[in-house]
Amino acid sequence: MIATSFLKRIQGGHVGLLVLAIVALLAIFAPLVAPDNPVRSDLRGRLAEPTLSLTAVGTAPLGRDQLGRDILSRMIYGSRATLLVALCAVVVGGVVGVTIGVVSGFAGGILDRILMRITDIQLAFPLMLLALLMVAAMGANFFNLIVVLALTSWTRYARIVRGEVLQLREREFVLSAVAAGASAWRICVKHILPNIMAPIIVVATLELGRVIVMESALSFLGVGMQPPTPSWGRMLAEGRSYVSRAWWLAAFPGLGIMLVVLSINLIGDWLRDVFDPKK
Amino acid sequence: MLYRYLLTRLGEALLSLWGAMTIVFIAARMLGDPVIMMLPMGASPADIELMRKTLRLDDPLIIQYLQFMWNAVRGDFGMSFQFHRPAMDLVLERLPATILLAVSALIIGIVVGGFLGFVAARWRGTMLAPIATVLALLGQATPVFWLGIILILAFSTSLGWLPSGGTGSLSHLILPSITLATFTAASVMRLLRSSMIEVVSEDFIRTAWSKGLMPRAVYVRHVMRNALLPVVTMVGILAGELLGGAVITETVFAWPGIGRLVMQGIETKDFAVVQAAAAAIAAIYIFVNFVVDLLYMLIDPRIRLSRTGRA
Amino acid sequence: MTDARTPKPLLQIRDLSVRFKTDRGHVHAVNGVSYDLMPEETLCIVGESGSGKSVHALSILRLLPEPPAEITSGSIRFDGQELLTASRQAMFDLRGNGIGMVFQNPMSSLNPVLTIGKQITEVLRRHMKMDGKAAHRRAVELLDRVRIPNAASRVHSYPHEFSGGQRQRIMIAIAIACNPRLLIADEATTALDVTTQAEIIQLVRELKWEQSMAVIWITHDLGVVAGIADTVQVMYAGGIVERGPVDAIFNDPRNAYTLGLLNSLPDVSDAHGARRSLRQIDGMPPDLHVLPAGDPFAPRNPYATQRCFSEPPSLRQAEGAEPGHLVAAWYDLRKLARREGAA
Repeated sequence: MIATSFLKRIQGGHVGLLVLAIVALLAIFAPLVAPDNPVRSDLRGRLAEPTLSLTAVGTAPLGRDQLGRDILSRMIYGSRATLLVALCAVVVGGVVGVTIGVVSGFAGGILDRILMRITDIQLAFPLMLLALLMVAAMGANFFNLIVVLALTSWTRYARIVRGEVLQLREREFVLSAVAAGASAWRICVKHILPNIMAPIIVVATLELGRVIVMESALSFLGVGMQPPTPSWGRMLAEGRSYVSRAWWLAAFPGLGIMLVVLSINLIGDWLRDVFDPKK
Repeated sequence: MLYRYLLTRLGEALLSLWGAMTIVFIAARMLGDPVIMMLPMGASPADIELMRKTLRLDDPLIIQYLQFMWNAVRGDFGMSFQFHRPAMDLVLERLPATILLAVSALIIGIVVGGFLGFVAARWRGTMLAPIATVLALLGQATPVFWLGIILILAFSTSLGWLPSGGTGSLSHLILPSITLATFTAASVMRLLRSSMIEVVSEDFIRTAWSKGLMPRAVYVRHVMRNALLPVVTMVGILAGELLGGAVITETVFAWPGIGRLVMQGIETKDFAVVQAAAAAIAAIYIFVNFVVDLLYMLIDPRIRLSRTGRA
Repeated sequence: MTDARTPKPLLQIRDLSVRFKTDRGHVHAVNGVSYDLMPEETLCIVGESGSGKSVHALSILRLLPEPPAEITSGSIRFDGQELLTASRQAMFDLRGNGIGMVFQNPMSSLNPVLTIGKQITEVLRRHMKMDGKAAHRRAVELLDRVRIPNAASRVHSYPHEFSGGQRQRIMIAIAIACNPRLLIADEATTALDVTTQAEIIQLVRELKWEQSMAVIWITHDLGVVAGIADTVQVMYAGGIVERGPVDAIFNDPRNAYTLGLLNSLPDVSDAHGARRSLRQIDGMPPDLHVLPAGDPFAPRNPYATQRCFSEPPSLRQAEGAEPGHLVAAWYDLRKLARREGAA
């Protein structure tokens, strides 16, 4: 009875949180958790099939790749880079986007129009292509990846935040703060920011998922993270040529991406419901 | 005036196009030194200098930029180093393939997504709805490139039903378009479902029921007509994502479209090709969004009348 | 022997109870409501929000979402037909046809992407089997009748091109298009300004005579009641507390709640020419999650007796009042209160 009522109250978001937490923990504690060295190649064990067992000694639960490297370990280590880059990109993109959105919405006038024009121009360019060109142009290192991914991200925040700020600007508590002579900075930080956190968090969560996929896509195309850093996207690219002989090279990393993104999307949707004023 | 609105939108589109071309220019220039790529190994510094002068690559950047824009407006993006042909010609050759793929994916995505979304909203309390929702969630989380590989694995390698790449017949189109359509369908499904759920609780739907209209009339004439509006807006965004995703899908399936052309250009630092293909993709995206905007104006009478100033 | 047959009620509601399922339990929105409505009678149902007036009206046409709403008991007979057990198809055929309804918010009650002409013709084609041309003609006639200027050209306009008052008239046109025998207006003028309100009320009065309709008009505004009612029914906490001919209710209220409502009507000055402050009924309406033991109004009733708190009063003919004047009270208001400034 307790069990069924508990089961009824579990929502997708909770499951997503759980899975994401597990993935994050695995990533953080990678050296302790991974069964094998991700870059150690053992050509004797090349293309070994997955045993799907965690206890059998010396075998790879998810198989080995063309250089004999353990796929599970590569995935665990690979998640570190991916998650780190994605997190940084979301934070940077978020900060930039929210700042621009708040400035644009609050200041209004010419500044608003210019900023929105810039946003429109950037949005007129397909995201993937933009990322591709930028990364190809700037070179694919950790830092550049973060910059590029943040670049594709900030517009989403700016638009939504600006909309919220425009509404908030007319509300009494803001008007009274203005009448009381508070500085614009103070109003933005103390009054406006706390009230727009909800949509920001929702957007940030969904962006995290999108950025992870984009990073993997870039790695897949060869312009993302470079070897020897294991990256799920790269693993997919490498596994592609072996797909007929050794499907596990490509299947598991992709499954991993899917699982992580699904969890993040579930969390994002759940958060959106939680913050929905209509409920 | 209707025309004034049209002109404003057109102006905005052109501004965006200019911005896109600038981005393309900057990115292409940053790809690396094309001269090095073009000349054979061991070329002397003098040769390199000569090449630069011929290609006018030693002009100040702003001159190059203006030259680029001027040429671009006339459709001249330079010569491809790889193929020794005007870059624009290559783009135009490959364009139909990309458009074919994108349109197929869009149609499949809208039809499937629309169907699932409608089902999930209409039969909300029943078993059907969660199934459709789960499918949509999976669809949105699945990376396009992975899905493509898996589909190749399943239908091409194992079952041998469909070819794994290249082009030439309808069967070549199936896997790539399904791959691209998945994300589209998932997005459409989720949006339509939430849009329908919102519309269903509106006052005018209650009015519709109070008129004694049959459920089919209420759902189609009243709910759908309103619920589809946000979906139309999203089609523009979807077109953009399809164009972006085309790069990946075309790579996975060796589909000879401009997405693949861009990749090839990037790999070989053939910046004329990169410029031409990227500019083409951006231009198409801007154009599609412009058309969608107009479409939206046509179907939502509130917008149409407010924009044209008729009270 | 006269020829006059005792008229049969058009609408007979017996012991209707409706509750809503919420997170915190059930809200008992309507409790044991019973009354008759005669053909061509105009009944005004008055009460605060939460009195159950709208909910019971929506139950007549079964327009409540069922979950979370649940009609737990009662019977609603319209023109001899039992509605609560009628088939879905029967209800689809009745709505917009035998019974028309007008809702509160004209700004959102019309489909924004369809022309008003379409929204009228669709109900004509649904129930009257008219073809396109005939329906269109009739739609223009109806618009003209509800006094939309330039009906012939405006029939192609969209809802947002009209003012609130006009939209409400369009709603009325839709509701009466198929000559219903009953028109239910749920707070139809609440969202409109006073002048427009008066126009709408006048329109409905005229239409009522023209089409020989009965009208149930739900409102919380006694001014509206004075303008249109034959019979007044006062509701509180899901039940009827008083009911009777409009003059009787206004001049001889027998229920403390009714008295409170009448007293709260702003008068600019009383009979002696001195300004009077606005009088309110103290306290808050009850939480309908829990049905009180006695009269739900007792806690706010300055004239409540012991019995009011322990036993719910039933609706009975008031002593010494006109026939048809019913009240639910254990106290005799005549002895306890004097209505100030009464006519």
